[in-house]
Amino acid sequence: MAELDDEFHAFVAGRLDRWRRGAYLMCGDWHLADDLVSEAVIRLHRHWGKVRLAGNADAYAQKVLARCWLNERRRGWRRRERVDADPPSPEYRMEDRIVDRLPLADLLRSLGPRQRAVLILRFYLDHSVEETADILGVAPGTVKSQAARALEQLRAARVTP
Amino acid sequence: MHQLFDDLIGTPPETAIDTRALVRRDRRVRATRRAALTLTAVAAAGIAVAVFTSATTPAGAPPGAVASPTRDDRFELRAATRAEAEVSAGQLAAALDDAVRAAVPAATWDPGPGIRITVIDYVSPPGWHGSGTLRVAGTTGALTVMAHTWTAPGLSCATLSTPQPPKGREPTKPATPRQCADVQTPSGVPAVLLTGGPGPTQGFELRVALPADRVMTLIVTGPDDGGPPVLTTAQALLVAEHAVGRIR
Repeated sequence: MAELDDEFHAFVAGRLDRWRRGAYLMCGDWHLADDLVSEAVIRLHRHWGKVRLAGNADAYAQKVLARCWLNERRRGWRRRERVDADPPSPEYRMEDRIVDRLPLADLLRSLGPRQRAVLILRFYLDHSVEETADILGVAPGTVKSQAARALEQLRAARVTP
Repeated sequence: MHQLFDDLIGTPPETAIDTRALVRRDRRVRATRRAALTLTAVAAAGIAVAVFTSATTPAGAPPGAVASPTRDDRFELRAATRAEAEVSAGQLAAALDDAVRAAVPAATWDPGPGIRITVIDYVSPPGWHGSGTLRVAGTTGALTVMAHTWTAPGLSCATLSTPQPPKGREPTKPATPRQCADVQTPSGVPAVLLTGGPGPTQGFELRVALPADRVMTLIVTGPDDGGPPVLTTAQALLVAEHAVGRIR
């Protein structure tokens, strides 16, 4: 069991940064992102014995993390209390590369949780359409249409993907 | 696109996620939850059996046998006040630690130095509960201990039978299939062994009668991924015998 645990912790350590980044993109708040990742780590550990034997630990972990995010959004308190972690937007200047992120942040905020997850899984975490569909439990066609719509909005906001 | 996302993320702050602490806490929470469920079920079954037998047994009948005291360094489990119960918790923890060391010399607590017992005061009279992770020859698993009131006459599979729901009311869910066997410790103290049940973790439950109408329950499990229990049944019986021998 100690070996299993060591293997699990090594697996998590190698992916923690990527999971945190993905979680932050989904929720826009580092504290909540850490909470989501922590919850996903616990759930992953509970099934680690089976997951590692199945040989799809990465996909499973990503699925758990995405589900944690979608479940979090369904919680009742979210409807009553909403916190915007980002400061007010400064003036937008096209020539300044760093401010390109503002339209993207606005776009992410304007999307529903599942659409946001599609965008992040497809274009940041580089999952295929089929993998994204499997992680989110939707049809591949849904992933394609939601990704296309998000890209269209990005172009309309003059952000070059 | 990657660059856009990375710009949006910026520099991630230092994380406070400690995966080892998360896993430890989750194990502790799940062990406590399992124990609390078992304790509640045992208490409910005990009360049901006691009510049933008090209605059918003639007055003056002798109570069930309890373990006989055998050693001089024995202590009494007292729960009249919270302070008394806390003292008994410490004594019980020390007795269990000694019992594990005497019965299974190769066993070590992870983390040490031993098992921590707490007072359960949501039942009346209060009981005791504790759980610790044991490591024996490369195998790891949990040993959970409970001591609480047992008012049924004697401890056997017959007295542990599941109480039937009242007429006209069906149980909300089917009973968990568990196998029960009447066993004895090496010196002949009667005990009940329960095996099987829900969940992927392998394990068994051992109940031994204590003095003063109490019962001690030892729950032995293996690793979370379904490995064998950390103690064999014979080892657990030996641990129970040593621990019970310290209580008067």
